[in-house]
Amino acid sequence: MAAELSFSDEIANMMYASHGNPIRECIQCGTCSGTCPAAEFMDHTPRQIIGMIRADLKDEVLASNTYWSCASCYHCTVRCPAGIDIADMMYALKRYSMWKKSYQEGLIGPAFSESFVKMIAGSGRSFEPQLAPAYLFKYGPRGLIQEAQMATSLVFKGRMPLLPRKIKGLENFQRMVRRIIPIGESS
Amino acid sequence: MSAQIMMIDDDPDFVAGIKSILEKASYKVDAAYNPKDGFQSLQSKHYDLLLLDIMMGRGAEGVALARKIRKDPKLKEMPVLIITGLREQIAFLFPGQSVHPHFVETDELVEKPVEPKLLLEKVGTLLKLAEERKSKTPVR
Amino acid sequence: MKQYAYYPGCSLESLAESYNVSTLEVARGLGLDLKEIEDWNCCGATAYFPVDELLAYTLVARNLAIAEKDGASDFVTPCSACYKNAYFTNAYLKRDADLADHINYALEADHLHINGTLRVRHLIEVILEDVGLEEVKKNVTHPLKDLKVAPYYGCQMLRPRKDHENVENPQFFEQLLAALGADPVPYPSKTRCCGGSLIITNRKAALDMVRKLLEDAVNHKAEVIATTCPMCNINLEVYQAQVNQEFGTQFSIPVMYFTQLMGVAMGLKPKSLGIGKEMVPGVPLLNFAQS
Repeated sequence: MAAELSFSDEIANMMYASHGNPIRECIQCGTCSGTCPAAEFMDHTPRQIIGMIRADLKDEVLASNTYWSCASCYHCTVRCPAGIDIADMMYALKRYSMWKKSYQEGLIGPAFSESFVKMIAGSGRSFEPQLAPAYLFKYGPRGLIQEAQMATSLVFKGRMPLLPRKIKGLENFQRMVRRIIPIGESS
Repeated sequence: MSAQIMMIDDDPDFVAGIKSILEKASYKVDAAYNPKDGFQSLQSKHYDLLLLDIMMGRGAEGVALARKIRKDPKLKEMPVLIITGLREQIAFLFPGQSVHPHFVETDELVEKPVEPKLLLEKVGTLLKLAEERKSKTPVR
Repeated sequence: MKQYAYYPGCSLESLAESYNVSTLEVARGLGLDLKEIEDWNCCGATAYFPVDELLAYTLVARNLAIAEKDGASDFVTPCSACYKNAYFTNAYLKRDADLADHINYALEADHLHINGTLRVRHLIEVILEDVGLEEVKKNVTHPLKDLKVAPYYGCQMLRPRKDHENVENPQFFEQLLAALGADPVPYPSKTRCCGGSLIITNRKAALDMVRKLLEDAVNHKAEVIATTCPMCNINLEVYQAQVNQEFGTQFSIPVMYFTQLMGVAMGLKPKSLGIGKEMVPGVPLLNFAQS
């Protein structure tokens, strides 16, 4: 029987279609960490996460908030001297953790992504207030008050629509989605 | 001669489990862990049956790969058994609805986790189907 | 006349409606024929990639395919995030026949097909390349003389890199502002990320990122921050009050869409440019407006 695959191999497989170089080419220079505007809010810097993946520290990597703190601004990607698409790697980690439901507890990112995808599959359009239940309860009392104040002034300024929109060709749109994700009625 | 089975699935633990079941039943099994490597293996060697996962790499890649195989003159007769945890993996998208096996002309679909008995049954049936297809296909 | 397929994106129908109206007004003034894509859908923003990238490409491809069907040669959007998604979907589909085949299989269900014939462009690129700075200058009736503006590029318009363009220190935004008569200030943070959707998923991190951007603009004596993206604008503008609450700062710097600055310089009425809906009033800009 073939040897079992390591965690770093698994991530390499997740990134098989990436347009950048494989992460094994990382030289641990730290340009990504120095560039990342969210690094100080991450449990591990991007450089550390890459090192941890290569050391096959699967549980530690998955439990880190790092990849869910990536804003996908691609600053690391364009600067990486080894040509690794680091932002794409963060997406790969997000998918891996979503599919396995294995991520740090209390993060808003996975729930937000889930509601967003559900909302678009349902209506074809995005509508901010519909997303609120996915994260509001995690903000605590002070956050809730701030959020309510802001929403009120946005409505007052005429910037917040009160009704969600829907695309007209919704039925065909959903048939299209189901050809990619084969769940539900087929066509 | 024992049948040659190819398995394309990104989950190494799952692959190891299925492999050991099939090897005990004296099948020969090769594995690939992403769609690209998998397709390359299928092109380089003859297989009697393909066991195919759906969610890999960028997303529901198994669907795309199954469609590609059906269009490939050399591979289109090969039976494909989809083994997927799709509903578990992105259950939230269409809650309560089933995975539909006829999204593409694949031969069978089972959901993870799969019982060894059911697996061997399906594999046996599909290999028989492969034999039938072979005898029906005129030599070109 | 060239017809552009116009993709406003979801934000331009709600929080960033001013960007939509100012885009349409300025385009009209410059003679650009923007035709909104019929029954477009959300491009998926950044939220689809953590679930299924193939689905993300499909959503974007639907909008591109509708534009193609309509006979457009260019797809133009004022939203940097929509632009990045559309640009790369278009490019990947052209490069990868298997991906194109699969996405087209899905699009068939909506009676659509994508060939990859479109040129995907950000609005500012169309204004700079197809209209040109000389033509823009000719349309300026109310120059924004000495108005100190921080040119905020943000991330998705520049990154990932599309070609060999200068992603570290681009100059095109400064040039456009100068053509309006304004005085673009040095803004070292001009390509740093505003936090994007972290404003929802990691509020603390995003507010800190916004704080640094505001601070840098104020330190360089900017009176206004100009943006090219609804997300950047919302994070810097709508959340400015929360930054002040969180960090005890006193920021009160207007954040305006570049199209609003253009419109004012072109003598268009502020109201027709959506000016007046800001959380931080755009006073320094209004001084130049047609009365």
